[in-house]
Amino acid sequence: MNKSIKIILSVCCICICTYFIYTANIPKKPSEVTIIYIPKSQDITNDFWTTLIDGANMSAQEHNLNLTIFSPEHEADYEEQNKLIKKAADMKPDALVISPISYTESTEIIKEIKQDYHIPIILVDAIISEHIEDSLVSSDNYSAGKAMGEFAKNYIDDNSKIAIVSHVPNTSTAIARETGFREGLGEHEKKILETVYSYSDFETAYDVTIDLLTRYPDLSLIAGLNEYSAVGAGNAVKDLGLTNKVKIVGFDNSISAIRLLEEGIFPCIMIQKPFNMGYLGIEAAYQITQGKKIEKFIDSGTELITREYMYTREGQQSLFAFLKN
Amino acid sequence: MKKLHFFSKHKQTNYFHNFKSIHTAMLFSFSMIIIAALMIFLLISLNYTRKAIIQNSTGYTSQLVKQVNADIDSYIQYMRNISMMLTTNTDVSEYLFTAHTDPAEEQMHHDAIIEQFHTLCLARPDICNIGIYRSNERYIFNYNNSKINENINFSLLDWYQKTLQSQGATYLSSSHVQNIVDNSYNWVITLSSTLKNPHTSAREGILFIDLNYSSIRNLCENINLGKKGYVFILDKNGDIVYHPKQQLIYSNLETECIDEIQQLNENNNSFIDSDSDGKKLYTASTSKQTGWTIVGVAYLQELNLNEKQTQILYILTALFLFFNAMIISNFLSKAITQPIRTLQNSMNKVEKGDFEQALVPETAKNEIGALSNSFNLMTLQIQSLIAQNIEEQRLKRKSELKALQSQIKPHFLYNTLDSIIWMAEAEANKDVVLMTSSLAKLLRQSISNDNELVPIRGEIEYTKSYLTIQQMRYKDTLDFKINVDNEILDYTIVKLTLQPLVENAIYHGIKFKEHMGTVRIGGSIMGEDIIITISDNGIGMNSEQLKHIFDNKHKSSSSGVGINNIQERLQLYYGERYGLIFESYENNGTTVYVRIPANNTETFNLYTKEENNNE
Repeated sequence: MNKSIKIILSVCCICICTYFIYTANIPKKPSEVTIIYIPKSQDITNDFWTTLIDGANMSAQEHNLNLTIFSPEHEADYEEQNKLIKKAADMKPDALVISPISYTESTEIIKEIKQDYHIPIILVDAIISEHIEDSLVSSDNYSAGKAMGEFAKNYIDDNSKIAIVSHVPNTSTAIARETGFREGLGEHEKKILETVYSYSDFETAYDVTIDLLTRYPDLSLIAGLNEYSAVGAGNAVKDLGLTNKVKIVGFDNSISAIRLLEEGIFPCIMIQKPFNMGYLGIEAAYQITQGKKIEKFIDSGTELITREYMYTREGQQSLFAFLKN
Repeated sequence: MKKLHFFSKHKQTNYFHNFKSIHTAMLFSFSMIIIAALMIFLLISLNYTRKAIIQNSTGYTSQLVKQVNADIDSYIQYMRNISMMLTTNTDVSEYLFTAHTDPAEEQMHHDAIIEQFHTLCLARPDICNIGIYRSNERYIFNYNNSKINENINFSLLDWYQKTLQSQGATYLSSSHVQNIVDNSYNWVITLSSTLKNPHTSAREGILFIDLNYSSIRNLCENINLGKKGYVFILDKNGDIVYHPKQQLIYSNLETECIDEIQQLNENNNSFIDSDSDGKKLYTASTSKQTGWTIVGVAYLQELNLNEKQTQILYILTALFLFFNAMIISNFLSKAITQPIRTLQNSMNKVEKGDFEQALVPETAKNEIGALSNSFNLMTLQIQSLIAQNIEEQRLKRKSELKALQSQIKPHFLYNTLDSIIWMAEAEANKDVVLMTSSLAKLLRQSISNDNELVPIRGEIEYTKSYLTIQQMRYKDTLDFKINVDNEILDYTIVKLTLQPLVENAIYHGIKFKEHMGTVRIGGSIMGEDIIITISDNGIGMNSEQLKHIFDNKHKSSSSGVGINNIQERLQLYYGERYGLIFESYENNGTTVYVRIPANNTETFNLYTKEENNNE
């Protein structure tokens, strides 16, 4: 009799175990996760940052995360950004996502936060002088610059003169793009006369371009290394009536850039995927909070859009993805 | 093959031998079979339920998707009607195709069109752009004086070319960025038709209405496909017209399995795809009017909310059935093995020689019943064989005894008669008389009674006669004293018990004594037994002799009736606990205790009865 009870009990155990194994593969619901994102700016006239923040919000919405965004007033104000980083860290979020303005000036505080608060750090779009981040989500700026340089060769002949309007000196993106662009030009690199800086401001970009064109009347190609630089330079060229003489290879996507592309002042623009950047940045932060391993570098992608390509179906999807419908 | 078969059979036997009882083996086998059956049943029913749920969901979503399709068709039809209304509008053709000399008249047509566009745009917020176009110089876009985008070559636009090709019918574009209006870039769906020049009958102008997604989004979001479920629209080429996560799709952050959707048709309008979010049910419906395919996506997890409950219910039912089945099979296997166990118990009893209780009650008519029957028959047969054997032994002893009884007489008779002759010659008349009368008594007693059992009185008399004769023969060396309680005299004793013992005492004890020897016979009741003692003061026996007293060869020389013969007979008649006990000390005489039951009437009866039967 004892034996039969044992048999019945063991059979029951088997049944119960089978049931638990059967039900164990139901995935866990993600817990409420708090993430803070600190972009370079939240300028509503800047399509890059608004689109990037859209992407971040979309990702937060998809996963039902609590996303808070603190941003400095101006894209060059790293001191304010450092204050915001400190403030965000004091709120003890599950992950901190930052797009650092300065390559060097925010390294110290981010390092400090990482050591004292043990908050995972995700960098989006730009890097800092030390590789202490858990993951970096950005365009491959060097490759993008290089592709831009290679495309620019089409508009270069022996007499061409080239200038670069970059954004902020010593920012990681400016350095990488310029290096890539010079690499892409190859032997034409020596035709570069000067690099000037727009400090991420349309007017400054406009002014320095006017100045450039005044100093070098035979300039035939300008590379604008971000939206402010490219659009500012484009407007200057347009206003000086040099449309047919000076070509501009632009960087970043915006309505103004698209118009300049339509007008033919830009033969091409190199677009980043700010929406993807924001989306993947928050996604990476979420994955880290879920204890998953993620790549050290996540390429959000870039695409060279020429005038001919812009209104194909694929071109529209890439170029106008930021538009809300 | 044969070998293999043998092997497996052998193995199977071993498997069942591992269990200590058939009951356990049966229970184990039953439980295995029940589990297998329940598992199969469980899997089939769970699978079937899931399929049924999916089928229901498919039916449900395809109905919803068809509803959306119909709604979108009627929405597009409504917009077509607006466009038809405008194409036949005289203001439009007047403004586009008639060269007016009077600017005021031209302005009047222009204003009328603007007015109409304004009304339409106010009434329909889903109209993003509305416009008529003949050339870059003659066009009206919207009501707020929108300019044409000078950088765009109108004739290269895909939807413009398609509209011209469509021969007056309304053309419905897929989603695209509308770039013809200056400084405006919107994702729209364009509905366009050509305008006929009434003067030349050529199709020279175009009317277009750009629809934003607000109405389509409303129509698509209006249906309930669960919390996460959604609807999206594909055009004929498989390009996405509308998707709630259009930005994610365009950014390649999300993809839809468009190839599989395009393979669907009216009969087979759904499939299941799984990604990280779980299984998704795609249901498609293609509109003949627009050529668009409406795709509904539902998450199975949400549709099958009660699937878990069903699973628990099934598993609980299975457990309940299993328990009941186990209890019943426990009961059944017990019931089946019960007769076998009874049989086993009976066999154990038989092994121990307990035949009386070994019989198995007949319960079943099956194999075990037959086995029980055979067992009972066998047991009875063995029992009767044993009884028969005992009886045969008894008869054998009896005949042996009878032979012995008849044997002793002649030698003793001769000796006695010799003594009588001798005494007669010596003219000792009195002694002759005594001896002869004793001999006569002896003879009479031995021939008169055929019964095995005689009263103790008779046995004592017989022994006394014998002792009298022996005393006369050995006048100076033998004396005897009989002192028996009167109350035992009426009990019975096996015939010829005491005399051989007395004879033994004389020939083995007193005979070797130099002086006078005395034989004493005593008898009394002790509890339920009668003890008769025969003691002599002869030479006695040492312990070695005493040990072998019952050996067969130790025989009384004259009578031939051995001690062991007496012992056997007594035990045969009365049982193991009765018989002879010897007490002897070397040179100090021997005492024999004869122990028989005091209540021997029954034994006597049984004995006589059995004897009668045997006769």
